[in-house]
Amino acid sequence: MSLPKSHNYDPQHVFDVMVIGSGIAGMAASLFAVNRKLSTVQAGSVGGTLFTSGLFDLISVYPPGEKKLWENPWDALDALRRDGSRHPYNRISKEDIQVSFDEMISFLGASGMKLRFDQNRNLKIITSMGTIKYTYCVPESMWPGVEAYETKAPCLVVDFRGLKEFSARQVVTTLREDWPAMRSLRVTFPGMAGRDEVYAAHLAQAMELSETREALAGLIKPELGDARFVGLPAVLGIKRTQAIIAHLGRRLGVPVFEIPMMPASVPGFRLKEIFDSELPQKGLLRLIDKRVMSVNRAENGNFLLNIGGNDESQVIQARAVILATGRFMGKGLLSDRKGIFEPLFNLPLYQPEKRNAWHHDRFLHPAGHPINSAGVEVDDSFRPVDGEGRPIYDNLFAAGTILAHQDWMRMKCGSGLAIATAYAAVSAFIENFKKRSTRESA
Amino acid sequence: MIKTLFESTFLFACLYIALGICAIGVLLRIARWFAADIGPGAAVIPVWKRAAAAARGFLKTVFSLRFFLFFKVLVLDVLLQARIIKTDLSRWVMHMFIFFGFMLLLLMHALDELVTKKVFPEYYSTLDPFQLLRNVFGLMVIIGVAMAIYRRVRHRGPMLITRYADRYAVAILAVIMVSGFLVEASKITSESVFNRMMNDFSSAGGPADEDAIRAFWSGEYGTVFADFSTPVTPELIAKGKQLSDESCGSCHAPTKTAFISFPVARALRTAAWPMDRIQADVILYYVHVLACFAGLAYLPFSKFFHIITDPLTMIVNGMSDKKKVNQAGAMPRRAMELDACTNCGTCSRYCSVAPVFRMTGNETILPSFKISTIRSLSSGKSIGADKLRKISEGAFICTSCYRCTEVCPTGINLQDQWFASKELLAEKGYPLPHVWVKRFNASEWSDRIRAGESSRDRDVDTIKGRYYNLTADSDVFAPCIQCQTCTNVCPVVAAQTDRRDAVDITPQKIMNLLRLGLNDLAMGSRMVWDCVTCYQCQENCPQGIQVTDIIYELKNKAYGHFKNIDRTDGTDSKEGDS
Repeated sequence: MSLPKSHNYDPQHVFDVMVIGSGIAGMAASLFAVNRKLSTVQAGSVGGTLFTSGLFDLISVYPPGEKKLWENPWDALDALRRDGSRHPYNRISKEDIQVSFDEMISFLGASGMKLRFDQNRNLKIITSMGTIKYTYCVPESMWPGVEAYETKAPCLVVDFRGLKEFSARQVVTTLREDWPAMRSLRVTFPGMAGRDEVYAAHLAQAMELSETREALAGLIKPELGDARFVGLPAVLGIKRTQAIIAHLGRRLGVPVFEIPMMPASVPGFRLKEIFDSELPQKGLLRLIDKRVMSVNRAENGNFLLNIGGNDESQVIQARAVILATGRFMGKGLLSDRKGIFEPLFNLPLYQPEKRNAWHHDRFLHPAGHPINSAGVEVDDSFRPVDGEGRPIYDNLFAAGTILAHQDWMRMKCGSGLAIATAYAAVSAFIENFKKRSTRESA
Repeated sequence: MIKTLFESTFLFACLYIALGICAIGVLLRIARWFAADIGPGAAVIPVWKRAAAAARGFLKTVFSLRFFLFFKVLVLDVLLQARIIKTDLSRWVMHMFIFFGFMLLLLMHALDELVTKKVFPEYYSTLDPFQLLRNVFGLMVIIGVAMAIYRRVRHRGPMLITRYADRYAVAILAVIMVSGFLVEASKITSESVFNRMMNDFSSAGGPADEDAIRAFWSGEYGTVFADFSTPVTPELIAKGKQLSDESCGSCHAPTKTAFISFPVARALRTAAWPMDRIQADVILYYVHVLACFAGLAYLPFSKFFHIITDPLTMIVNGMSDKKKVNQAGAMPRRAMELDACTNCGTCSRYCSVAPVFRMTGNETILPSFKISTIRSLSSGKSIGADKLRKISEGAFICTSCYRCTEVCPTGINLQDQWFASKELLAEKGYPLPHVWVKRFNASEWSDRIRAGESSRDRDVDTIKGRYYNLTADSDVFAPCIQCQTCTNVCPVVAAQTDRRDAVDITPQKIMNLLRLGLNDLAMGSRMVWDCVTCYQCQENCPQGIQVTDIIYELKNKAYGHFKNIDRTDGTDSKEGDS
């Protein structure tokens, strides 16, 4: 269902849904929408997906104040429900959360990024800091690392001279007591001798060449010793990671895995590549690096969105909008001296009354700060609501971290929240609006 | 009374002296082509190697299929001057008039004893068609010269600068042409010339016959007689015409066919008698001939040297491969090309960075200026630091777009001249900015900017204030979260191989420096100078920051600062910091 190009600039053409935002929530909403044959247009920055680590969290910490870790994310969701939390997860059934994850995972798998997860278990994965992170779903390239940590098998962690974001010695030192059979090794990345600093994306590009991999394997192999796994920073290619890891594994004779790095990381690049190249093929009109500057409403209730870029502007007409603009970094929420606000629709926000109530006295308080749970309040159809709980527009939906009553950073629920709420918003649009609305369709 | 050229020892001596000076001058200038140091490696390539390379190139071309190109270049470029018509029809008309008018006058009229008489044995200068053609050719030159003067006045300015050489060229042509016509006109009116001819050639019987001829010549041929009282009747004139045809007709066509000189003679009628008294025709003849000799003697040192160098240049460049430059052989060629440039200004009119000249006022950006700076650079004359810096700036702004080389009517390989002169400037210590910027690291540059600015008004920033100032607006770069995406996608960073030459401050660090207010540190970074403005960073920035635009602005600002501050490394003397 690809759109004729003439529609791009025709304000008379009515899209089913406009997704605003290009992070995981925006991408997920676009994916679910095009999978359901909705005519979909998406605007946003170059891509918040760049800032992802490649891991897909569901939920692993609840309540954040106690820093309680959950081996089984579904148990955490049950606890959330038991406590009567207003977390957006509580508006979605567990089945729908699972279905939404499955749909995203199968899309990514079909696009070349295979993901691994255990149905009822959070995975433990080592980070570039040497800490252990609980997550629900990891790229195939990181899976042997999960297995290696489970068995604490002898493992060699390798870093590259000049790659400042990743230190094998730090990883090994931090994990020393937990995983004594882990050793570190520093090598000069093939072809980059003499550089003071090397960069992850450049290494990833170089890894696409088999000569680089041969040379790298030649550097690591003599140092292998008893190691049964080799861990490398997540720079193993951008497009053909599976094949690259398999090749390295064959040359070294042991499984190779990637250790996630700080954002913006190479797995984030991979994700961006997939969304950028695959979604338009499914029929998404993606307005890259175009932001929605302002919104008007037509008489029939359709939204008229002024799209601005660096050099031009256009108007898009859509029957519904899914707002997935994120929080402060994505500019979905802004703040001034009086409080925080939502700049596009000026939606009422759940937020602390006064500015000095935004934060705890302790900056590192484990429960987080009241401002972290501020955001857009929605009904069960994920429509933003006013103070009395009435939806403001019957055709405006919100998804992702802009939603109130969640602290995704501390609860480790960012990806799951983005995917599940995007799914819920698209479903609500279809079930509660598109099928029931008496308004004329396009 | 009057002697022809071959009868006058004085004029003959003058001719030989002029020829001698001309020949020596041509030889000297050609010899200089092999001695002039133009281009890189001048110090290490001895003269004999240059000559040998030139000779080798010559022989290689002569004994190859390329030799047939010679005829194409000769006909199209040299004779028909197709390269001029490519860019400017009126200039082509002007040049064709001067070139063919003068050349035909030279062959038919000046060298009549050597050329015309051999081809046409019945030649006589006062017979048609020679008399008519002489006026046609002369008129062509005069129209051409008039067009040249009009063009120089109409388009005067930096694109077309009229120097002494151009004035001299127009003046000497004008003197030769005008004096030539005046000689002819004064002879037409002269009574004494008529009398001499009558004495020598007339077979007329008596005074009555002579009167009839006089009446006829006075009425129809323009001769002015001081004392002629016989009443003129149609019968007398008819008789005169008959007698004239009999005794003068074999050598004299009607003077009216000298369609320029005859009206001039008519106009001079009242002054004819006094002129005849002082033998004006003889004086003008000497002026005419001596002007020609002067032009001949001065030819190798004047603009007219281009009648030798331009065909040579067109042939050499038209037949050789412009892409393969042999440095040894190129040096004499470059020197020859410098002599071939006629300062016509076509290159500057087509220069794609000429608008930069209009903005900065640095005329050394223009190709026609650059040719003269190369002349002075290669002459070995010492040039001040300020001037060199200006020249270096002009050379740096050139984008090597090849347009000047394409349009040059002389076919000079200007592109190669610019490359060579850039190398030469580098050897003299004035390389392009992104080369000399690497002499210091960013913090050293920042120290210099601060030191330089404490004693200087910040005019650079006020000039740039006309444009939107990205690097002064914190909203532009504040959203940076130091995610390194810009650095990760930067092909310049990725292409670094040599640590000494490496990018020191990567794009995301530049954004951080701006946030810290350390703009001067950012300006000195190599990243700013090595940036290829591919816009990868800007297009990939998740925060939508105009990374490339910022870097480009920093480069412009840095250039504004650096060109004025001390950029010596402290060991050699400070450059003219005026």
